Amino acid sequence: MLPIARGVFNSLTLMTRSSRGAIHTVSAHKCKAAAAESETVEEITDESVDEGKMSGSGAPDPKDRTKVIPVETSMRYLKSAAYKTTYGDSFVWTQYRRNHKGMFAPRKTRKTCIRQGKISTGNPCPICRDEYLVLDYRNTDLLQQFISPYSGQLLSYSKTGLCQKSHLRLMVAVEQARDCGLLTYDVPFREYDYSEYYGKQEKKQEQ
Amino acid sequence: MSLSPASGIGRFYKHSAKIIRFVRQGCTNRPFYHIVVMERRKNQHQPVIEQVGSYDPMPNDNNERLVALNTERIRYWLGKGAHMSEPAAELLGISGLLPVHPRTYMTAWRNRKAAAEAEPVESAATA
Amino acid sequence: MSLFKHIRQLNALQCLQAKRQYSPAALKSASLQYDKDPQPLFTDSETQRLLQSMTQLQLDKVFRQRTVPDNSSETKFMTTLQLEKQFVKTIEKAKHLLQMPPVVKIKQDTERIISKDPAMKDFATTKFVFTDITFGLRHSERKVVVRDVDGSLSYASLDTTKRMNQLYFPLEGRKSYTPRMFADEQLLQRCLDEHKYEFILDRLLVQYEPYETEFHNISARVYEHLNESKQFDLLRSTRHFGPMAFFYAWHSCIDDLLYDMIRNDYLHNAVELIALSYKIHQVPVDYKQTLSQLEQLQPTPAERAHAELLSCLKTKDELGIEQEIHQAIGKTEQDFTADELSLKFIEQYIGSEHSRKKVQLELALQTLKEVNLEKLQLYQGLKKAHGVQAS
Repeated sequence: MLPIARGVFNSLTLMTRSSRGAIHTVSAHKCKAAAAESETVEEITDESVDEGKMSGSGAPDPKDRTKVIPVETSMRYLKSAAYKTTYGDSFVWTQYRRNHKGMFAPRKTRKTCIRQGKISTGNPCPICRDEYLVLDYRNTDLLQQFISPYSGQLLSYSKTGLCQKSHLRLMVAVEQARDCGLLTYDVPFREYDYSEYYGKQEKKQEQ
Repeated sequence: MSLSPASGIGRFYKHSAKIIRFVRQGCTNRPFYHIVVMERRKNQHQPVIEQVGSYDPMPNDNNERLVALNTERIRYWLGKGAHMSEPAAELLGISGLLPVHPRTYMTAWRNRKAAAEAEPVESAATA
Repeated sequence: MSLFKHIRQLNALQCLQAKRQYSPAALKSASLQYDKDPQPLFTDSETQRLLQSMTQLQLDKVFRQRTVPDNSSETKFMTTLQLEKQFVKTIEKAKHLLQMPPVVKIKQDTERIISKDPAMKDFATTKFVFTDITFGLRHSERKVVVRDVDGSLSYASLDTTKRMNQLYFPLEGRKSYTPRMFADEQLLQRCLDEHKYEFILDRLLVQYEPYETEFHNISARVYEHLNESKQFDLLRSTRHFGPMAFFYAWHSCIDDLLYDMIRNDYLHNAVELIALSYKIHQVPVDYKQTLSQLEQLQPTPAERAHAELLSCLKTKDELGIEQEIHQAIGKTEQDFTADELSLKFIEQYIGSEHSRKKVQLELALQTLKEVNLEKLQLYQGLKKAHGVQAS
């Protein structure tokens, strides 16, 4: 291929890729705005005050991740119509595709998507791209999406595309949720040797 | 160094001297001992004949030191005429499997003495 | 590695919190406890048979797809003979999976000192715990001894013994710390309110030994909650149904379970439950005769499951018209006679002073009778129409 042609081709692909990402983030943001509206009056006023402080221009920075979203909000968001319009019936990770050079993706996903309170990448992982998805042991609806219905194990990051940091937090949250009994799992079968509990007494009865 | 299996891969002569002793596993500043049977003349990191227990000298959360002993095999090897290193003999004495080792009594006496000496000094310091 | 570190830190934090706020012993103790040793009555062969029959054997439920890392299935070509043998094996396996956890009284911890040696006082600053790891010993036989700082040698407490057993011979699924689900009152209550009874009980079996106080407290709480929510179907055909029925019979609160059984048309089980409570409280009513009559009329759950398996071998043409009628109505002639017998027995129970919810039970019985009557008429009508009686 001619060098000029290659350059044109590369820029084209770049454009399509970035636009795809942009469309997603824009739609997600609209939905989140709707979700925020449906929340209680107090929260809305708080948010607007915060936003006003952070950016003088008015529009919040879509890449900013310094605001801490409470788990309760996230749990409500997962049940809301906004979530439904964004993701439909599929899991939060099904529509996500990793960007990579060449045919095969690198074995590991990136270390983290958020650096210094900002999204540092053009294609953040499914958890990082949506700030209203909070990984916590109480957020069982979200955790359930990352557990295989066949083996009961956590899905690999090669399948879900989570960054390493989110994946670690996910593992911890799932383990905690199981410990608390919020997530059920199949407990290993325990076989009882009755003679261990009854053996001696039975002998006594025989005598 | 990879661990040798507890069943042991150490080669030994039939009539050579065997010994029940500690082998230091663990790492720097974290001792952990395997109680093993091996040929007396060998170095501790050589393959062992058999592992018969373990000893963790660092107290755990409940302030207890954990020792595991395969008493059946220990008795077998003692019956075969295996020797015992002094720390191992002391530990078996504490466990009640063998008579208490004299050195345990000596350390106990020394500790008590040291405590008794330290007490008047402390009381004097407070007064 | 970093994950483990993270988790360990979190766990340590949780443990601290748990210790500070609630210890497992501080859990609201259940109001109902076994007042004497329930073991001889529970292990009695007749009781066992009654409990097994009450549990039932639903193959779909016993062999449900489990979400475990290895849940692969195998496909094989077999001759009919091989298949029949395999069916027998399957039933055996199902019975094994329904093995009831033992019901024993709470074991009290006793201090047993082996020797005292004052000369050894202060030989070390900490206790020594010795565990015998001889191959092939059972957990109850394993010796754990403690040498205290003052030189006395004694057998370890139950708690320490369990800890050492778990350390050197880990039981799969058991945690070395109390899971927060059992330590935290609110979490347990939440699990109960979400009706995760089987999960709680499964986990309880793995985490605790049957003779521990926590085991008794938590299982009693689960049974009591279940008695209020009346979701008995969740535990039917699991290994927990037997101990549950035994618990209700012991504490004479069988009426809700009985009502559920009558409504689901498990009259045979209802009779067994009443018989069990008579047996436990030594009520002078002759239940053995009714039971033996019923047993002759109806197959045991294992036989029933086996027949169900075998029936899928037959094609539709091979089934007689009579069997087809049975399938349509769900009852055979024997079932109708058995129902009559059991109805008589249950009515007798409701009439006696032992039942506490007479009106409710009577109503349920009445509706069941009407439905049964309709079924009987339909059954006879169908038979007549197909000319089965004539042949």
